[in-house]
Amino acid sequence: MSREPFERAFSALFADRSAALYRYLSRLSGDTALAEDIVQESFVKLYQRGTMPDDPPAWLVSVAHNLWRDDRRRAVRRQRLLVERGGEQPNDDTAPAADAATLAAERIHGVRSALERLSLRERQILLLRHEGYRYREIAAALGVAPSGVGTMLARAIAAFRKAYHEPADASS
Amino acid sequence: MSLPTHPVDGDLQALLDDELSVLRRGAVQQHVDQCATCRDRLASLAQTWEATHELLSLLAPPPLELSLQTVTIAGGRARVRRAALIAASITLVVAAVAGATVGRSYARAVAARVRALIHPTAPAPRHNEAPRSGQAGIAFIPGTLAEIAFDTPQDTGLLLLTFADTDEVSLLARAPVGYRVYPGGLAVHNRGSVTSYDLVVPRGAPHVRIVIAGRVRFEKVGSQITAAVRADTAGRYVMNVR
Repeated sequence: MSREPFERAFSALFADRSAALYRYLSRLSGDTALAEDIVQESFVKLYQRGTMPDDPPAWLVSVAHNLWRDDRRRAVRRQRLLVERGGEQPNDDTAPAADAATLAAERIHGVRSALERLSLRERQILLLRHEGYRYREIAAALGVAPSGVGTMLARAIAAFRKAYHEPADASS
Repeated sequence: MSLPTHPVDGDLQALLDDELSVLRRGAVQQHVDQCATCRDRLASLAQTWEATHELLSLLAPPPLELSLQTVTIAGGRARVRRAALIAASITLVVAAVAGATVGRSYARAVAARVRALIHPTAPAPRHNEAPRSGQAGIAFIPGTLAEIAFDTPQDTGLLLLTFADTDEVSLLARAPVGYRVYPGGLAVHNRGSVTSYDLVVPRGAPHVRIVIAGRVRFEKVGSQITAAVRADTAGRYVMNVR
């Protein structure tokens, strides 16, 4: 069977969605290098699959979430290994900019800090919608009912705004 | 028909995002048109979402430096490997049946061909013996493709890639690992290792690829480079072996 229709669809999907998936993962993980790795691996897995799933953008997000989860588990093991061996701590790719005195850096740090205070689900919904994913795609990627996405999104937006405007030590 | 009660925030958000069904949208919109309180709620949600958008946009990462070609090349190689494994499995079954009917020597010959299909081995490299395990370094002269493939990701360890005016690809591990040279490159058997590596590649090598656990982390085709990391001021690439 010719792969040409799949190859065409794959190329179109890559052109249309790879950057949005990368930006989403970069904001979710705080690690742009990791985000690029995960985007590459997600698209490679789809290419290996050879056929388009029912909802390709949602499928890619699901695969990317699994890869990110696997990476976080390895990171925890790595951290434990370094602590046990008394070695140097690895570089923290999510550290805030050195020049935190500038207003832009403070705002960025505030946004990052507010995101981290959301639940993972709230962060995922907020960031996926920010990148233009439709409710149907968000629902399929996160395994929730499409009819519930609007409510979850409204709550996530409210939670983010509260976290952003509230100092970190006032919320504990 | 208008709604008997005020719509929940989720419906208003979905109205803003144009995500309601036609029927539902009509009902919610009609209510909003007639209810000042809900109009104010809708306006507030819109304003909050706009402000949230603006804040999240501050976290914009640098542009994605991943090409379609890199993805399809990596995916294509994996598909070829899988097809080869399927073919090899079928051939093994045939060999088992053949061995039972036409003799063990035929089955051995088929099995040898299957092994060659799964694990092709190159002629010995010109300058070094092909080590099997426990060696700190290796060098070989590359052909049209120089692929350095690490079997597994490591918990720690860095790979320092440098381009030099040399004919050889050389890889030096800080602690001994196993290597295998094959047509087109070098496999690094680094399972369980936490060491770091220095890799020197000829500047004029036409095609260089670094693969870690099946993921392409660096590729140079001619002068075009696709890499998971940026070069430092000396033109070297430092990447985690993970």
